[in-house]
Amino acid sequence: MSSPAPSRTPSKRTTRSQTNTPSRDEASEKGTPAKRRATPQKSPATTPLRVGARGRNARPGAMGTIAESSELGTPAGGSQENNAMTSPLAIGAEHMGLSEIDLSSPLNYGTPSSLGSLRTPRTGIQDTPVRVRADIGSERTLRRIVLPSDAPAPGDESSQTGSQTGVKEVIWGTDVDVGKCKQRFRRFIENFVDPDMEPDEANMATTNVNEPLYMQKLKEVLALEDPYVNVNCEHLKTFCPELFAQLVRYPQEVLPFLDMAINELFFEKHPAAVLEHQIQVRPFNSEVTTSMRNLNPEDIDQLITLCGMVIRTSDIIPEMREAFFKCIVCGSTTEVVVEKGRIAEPTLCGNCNTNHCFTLVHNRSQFCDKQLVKLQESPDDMPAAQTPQTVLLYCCNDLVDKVQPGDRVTVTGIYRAIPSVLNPRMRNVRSVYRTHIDVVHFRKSSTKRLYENEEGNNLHFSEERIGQLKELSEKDDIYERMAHALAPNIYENEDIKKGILLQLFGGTKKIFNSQGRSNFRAEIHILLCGDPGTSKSQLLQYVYHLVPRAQFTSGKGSSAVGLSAYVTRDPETRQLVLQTGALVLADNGICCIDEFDKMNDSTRSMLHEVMEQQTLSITKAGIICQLNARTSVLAAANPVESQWSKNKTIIDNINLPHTLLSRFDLIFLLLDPQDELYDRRLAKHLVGMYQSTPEDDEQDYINMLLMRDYIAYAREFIKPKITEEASNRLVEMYVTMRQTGMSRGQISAYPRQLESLVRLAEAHAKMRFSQTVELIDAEEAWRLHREALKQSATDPLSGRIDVSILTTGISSAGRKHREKLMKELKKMIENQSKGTTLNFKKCLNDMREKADLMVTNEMLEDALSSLQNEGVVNLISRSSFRIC
Amino acid sequence: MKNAALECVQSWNADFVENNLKDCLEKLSDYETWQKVSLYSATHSHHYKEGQLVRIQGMIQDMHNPEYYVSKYTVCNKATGTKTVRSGKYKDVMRVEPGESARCAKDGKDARERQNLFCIPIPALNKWALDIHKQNVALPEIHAEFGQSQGVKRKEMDEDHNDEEMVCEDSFKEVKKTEVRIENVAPTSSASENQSPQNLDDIKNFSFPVKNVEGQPFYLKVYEYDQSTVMNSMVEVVGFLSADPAISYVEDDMEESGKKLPASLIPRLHVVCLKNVEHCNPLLPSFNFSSDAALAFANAQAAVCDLKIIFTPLLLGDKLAVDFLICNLLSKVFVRKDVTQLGHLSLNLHEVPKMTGYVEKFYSILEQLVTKSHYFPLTIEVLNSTPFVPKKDYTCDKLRSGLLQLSQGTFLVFDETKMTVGQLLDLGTKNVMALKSFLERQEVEYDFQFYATPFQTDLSIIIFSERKSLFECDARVPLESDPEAVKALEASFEAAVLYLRNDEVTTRIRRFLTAAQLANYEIPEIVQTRVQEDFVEMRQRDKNFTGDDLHIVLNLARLLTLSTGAQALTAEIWKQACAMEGARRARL
Repeated sequence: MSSPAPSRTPSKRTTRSQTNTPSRDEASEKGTPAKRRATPQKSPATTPLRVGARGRNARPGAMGTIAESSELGTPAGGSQENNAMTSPLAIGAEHMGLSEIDLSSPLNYGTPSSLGSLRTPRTGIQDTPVRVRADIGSERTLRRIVLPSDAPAPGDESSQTGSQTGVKEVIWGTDVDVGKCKQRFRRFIENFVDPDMEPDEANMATTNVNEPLYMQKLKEVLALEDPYVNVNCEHLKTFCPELFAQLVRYPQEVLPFLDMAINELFFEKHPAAVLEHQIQVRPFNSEVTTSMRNLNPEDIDQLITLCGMVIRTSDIIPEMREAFFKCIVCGSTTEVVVEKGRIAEPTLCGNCNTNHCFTLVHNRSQFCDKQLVKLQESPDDMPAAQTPQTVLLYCCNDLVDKVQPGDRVTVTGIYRAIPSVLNPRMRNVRSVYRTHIDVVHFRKSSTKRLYENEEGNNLHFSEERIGQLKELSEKDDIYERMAHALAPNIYENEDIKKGILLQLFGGTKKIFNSQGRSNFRAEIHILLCGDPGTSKSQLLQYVYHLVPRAQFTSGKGSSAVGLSAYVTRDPETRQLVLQTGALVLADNGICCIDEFDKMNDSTRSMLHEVMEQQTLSITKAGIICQLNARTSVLAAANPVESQWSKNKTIIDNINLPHTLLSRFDLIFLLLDPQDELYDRRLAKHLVGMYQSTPEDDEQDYINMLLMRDYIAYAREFIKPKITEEASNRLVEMYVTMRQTGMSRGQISAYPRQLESLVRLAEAHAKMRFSQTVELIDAEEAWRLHREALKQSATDPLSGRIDVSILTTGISSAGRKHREKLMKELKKMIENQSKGTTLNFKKCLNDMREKADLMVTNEMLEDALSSLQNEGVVNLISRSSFRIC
Repeated sequence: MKNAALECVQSWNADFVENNLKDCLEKLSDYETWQKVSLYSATHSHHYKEGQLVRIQGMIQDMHNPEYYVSKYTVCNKATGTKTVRSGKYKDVMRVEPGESARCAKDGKDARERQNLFCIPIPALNKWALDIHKQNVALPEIHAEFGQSQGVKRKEMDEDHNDEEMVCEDSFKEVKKTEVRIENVAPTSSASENQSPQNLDDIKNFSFPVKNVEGQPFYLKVYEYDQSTVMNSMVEVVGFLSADPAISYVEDDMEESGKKLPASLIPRLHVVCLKNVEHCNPLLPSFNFSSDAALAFANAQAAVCDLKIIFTPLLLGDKLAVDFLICNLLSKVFVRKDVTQLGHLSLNLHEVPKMTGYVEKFYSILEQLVTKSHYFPLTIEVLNSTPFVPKKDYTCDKLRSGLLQLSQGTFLVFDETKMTVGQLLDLGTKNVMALKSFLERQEVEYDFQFYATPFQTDLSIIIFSERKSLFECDARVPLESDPEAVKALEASFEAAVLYLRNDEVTTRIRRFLTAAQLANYEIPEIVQTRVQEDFVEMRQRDKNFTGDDLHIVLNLARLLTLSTGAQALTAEIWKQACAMEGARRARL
């Protein structure tokens, strides 16, 4: 229809006074486009416009007129005067061959239907049709202002011609320099290298980390003929913060220029490429990742990124993009671009000068697909005691049907607010804006989980928060602090809390796919068992509330089906659908199972696979599949007889198959200590809770929220590797474990125990925010492992720690050494009066001096615990015991 | 001059409040001014004018998305060409007179956010409390006084703020023009029956946790929203009424259709001042609550004595059961920390006499004493048909209420004697699970279809059953009946009814129960040590006595202390609590 000259925007002005219109507010004072349209005659802008037009008038008849009509509200077909107008740039363009290409693009955006006539064989870019970007609402002709600049800006040293003509273009109402903006983006595409690329961005196996990322993406575009380039705003921000800021602030205006730049670049490189339509840039991961609740009127028209869950999608709606009008008098036709959902119906026919003679021709108008999607806050973002909020999304063209209800997605788009239609016939108009988001980019987080290893890339913390977390991690006693803060209302049980804490962090994920071995699991499983009323359930409840993706079930009420997955027929579609159960739902989270002992055998047997392979196989009703269930299991069980019997082995007490027991990394006993001092302290603790104003030592109290962030951060960003030193120590420990067993002619430790140790050490390193597993981590893992074993694998006959109880269910008796030690101990105790409290360390030193035995810490502990069974001493804590 | 206008609360209008917000709020913090704002009454809805300042009390049942309103817009008079800027605050619509055209910023620069809350009359509010509320409804004397005061005000405003003159005049006109009869409009829209609620009865069935509640639900438009008003909070609100049927919601989007109900059915209230209240006992107004409560609290002995007189014969002369009942009446969750909640005492009274309608009769006595209560017969049919848990209905974008969505401090009496043999269906099973987990954790998981969100809920529960209840309660007390009392049961009920005819008695009890629930409590150092000693001793006597049991005794001690009108635990009461729990355990 018209030449690619950029000059058709009538509002283009050449004015010196306009050189800086930086803020939006300022611009709006001078008259936003909306305002100007209503009062075109009175606008002061008309004067410079005419001056500019007259002064440079050179290419008559080269103009399209539709854009003008939509701009100024004048009849389509327009006045002759408008036709005669040309901007200075167009002249400049004629002198410089290249610039025609650059400048053509924005027009294409304005009137996509005019493409046909535009095609010239010279470059690929013009062979490729432009597709209207419905997503950013760019159907509006871009308004740019041409500003003469005194000298080329210093930054523009590249070969771009636009800015060297002595004028510079800025987008209407902003201070965004078009040429600069395009150049910057071009440089970004050509040069940006991302060393630590996120896995889902590298969708081609060939992606080379050391080469410019987006150049490779352009190659992908060429190969796949999929003309979309997703641009991570985070990259753009590190490369060029200014361009990033402009993009976020004026997405609707800036995006078309980015498209232009990338198309130029693409067709320069691959002139012969054939694409369905021109490449479109899709930014995502914009900085303003807010929760829905934080959206406010200031975000209107900005590029925002939101996370949420899709709850509804509408049918596909054909939306008119371009209306086709025909004059009923003379038959001349005109096309009007739909602007913000409205069509400015042309009133005056430019051909025959008749008023109100146009009719709309539906089947020649252009439509695009549109879908309304409702996005709801995900439960993690919701403040307590409030209902989730929703936001409406409009997605267009190929984004239609990209998401399904139930998907968790991260959406990047432009936030819009549209006032209610002002109907002159209605006296009252609702004074409410309707808001929605024009989607530019979807990023699913849920589907990815099914095949990718990492999840939750949408994790974002503010700098401030990260600083806070890091500061916290540097505290010496962070381990104790965290353990203390875990379920602070549950009294003592420090080691159990520490175990659960490490479980929350989990080990490092390791993949050995290439070696034919499936993943080593990183999840730590813990079994708590013990007397009723020892707040096992409360611990479980606490963990359930702390971890975002946690499931809570009771062994009593759950079936194998409920835990794993089941197949049902969807009532609407009559299709078989797979409904996932608690274990699958807790993928990458924790599954808390209360009353583990009351679970029936078939249910429990299903846990074998889940707990070691971390997968779940389903074979039923024509569905055969393997689901990921990378969940940590935190189980609680009661002893067979409601009270723990000290004369029975753990297996007799819990009555669980040892195949299953050996899969738990840590098995803790929560036994009622039946100790006066303990009772007293417990009572004090409980009484304290009944004060109307419970004293809160806020200083060193880590609240649930901070804890959650801390864990999330560590899980996401800390991937500790084992150091040489630590690995030696771990090996040493394992060998010791094996040897103690071997000496008695029995294998007491299996590789599983070594794996447990590694996991625990890694988790401890994670907890310290350390990228390496060091000696202290290994030591703590060893200590905790022993601590747990000491309680759970104590042979009631010998009192000796014996892993074989767990692994084989049989205990071996080799107690010579210990009997000697016990004799010595008894001797020493006889010398002391009843009720004396002895220090453990001191006792250890004494023993070492007295007995000509090698007495280790552990041995003494073992001896003491068996003495406790005999009722001679009473262990108060790890560091002291009392003589009865 | 402004002060005079401030004094006359009834004549405040939106623009006046917007311009003098600080003064107005200060004025409203005064009890008398607050009381002067007329309390809205559904039965007299035609007395209220569009844009009038009214006061309501209610519970937040649902929270909708916030909306952006046009904070200011320009109106251009086509004839004269004069432009005026008008404010959109406290309004639903832009006011455009014939011959004028309005304009607001297209790009949303003038958009401001306001919160959208759905407020229903407090559910399960008992009749006596409602009656008092009704007495408090002073219908606005609009005919003479309103017009006059408006005139006076206009004069004053003329002098003070000339620029406001037009606004005042206009609003005055508008008030006169759009007199709305809310009730009359309702039936017309109920003609079309859809799945989403269309008339007031539907709405009540849908959004009210308890059926047969009279009163008017409202949409609250909250301009200064701080996060403190959450789901199920009880609120007192002063705001501008907007029930103009002209605000029809003819929107073409899928979002809007069927979601918003016409203003004539559910009036909008543009909130000037919103207060969260802890209780809704009309005998203890929230202003200077502390002194009133202290007074009521001082009457503890008399009130508890009355309670004992009333309930001992009704509970067949079982003194222990009466003690537990009184404790239950005073219980309230007062500490929530992570996963621990303290203060609740759900009660299961079983071995109830086999007298038809015993529980109903008992409840009819109870409901005269407590502010909010609800009787629920646990039968298979009702369990299978009444949802307990609120569920989000996405087709109309509303939260469908359930029985357990009651406001804090409501008494829920379950009658398990009605239970028969039968099969629980899907809903019934869910209900049973929900009630069970509620009794355990004082938390209800609202169903948002894609996920469930826990909401903290604080209800006092009493379950009457023939044998041990299906549901595990904090305290289970088998009634030990005195044969004499059983014989005289009929007469006892009559006597109780007669006894409660005495206004002095009922008022005393009602005030006391509310005051005691909200009272503070502490354990002096010396008693703490005593408790520790006792616990150690108890442990040695009985190995099965765990920390959880200590919780029960500590809670009983707290409630017993409050029932004596004291706020600090003493050794005697501690002993009494231990004895009480001991006696109860002995019965099991």
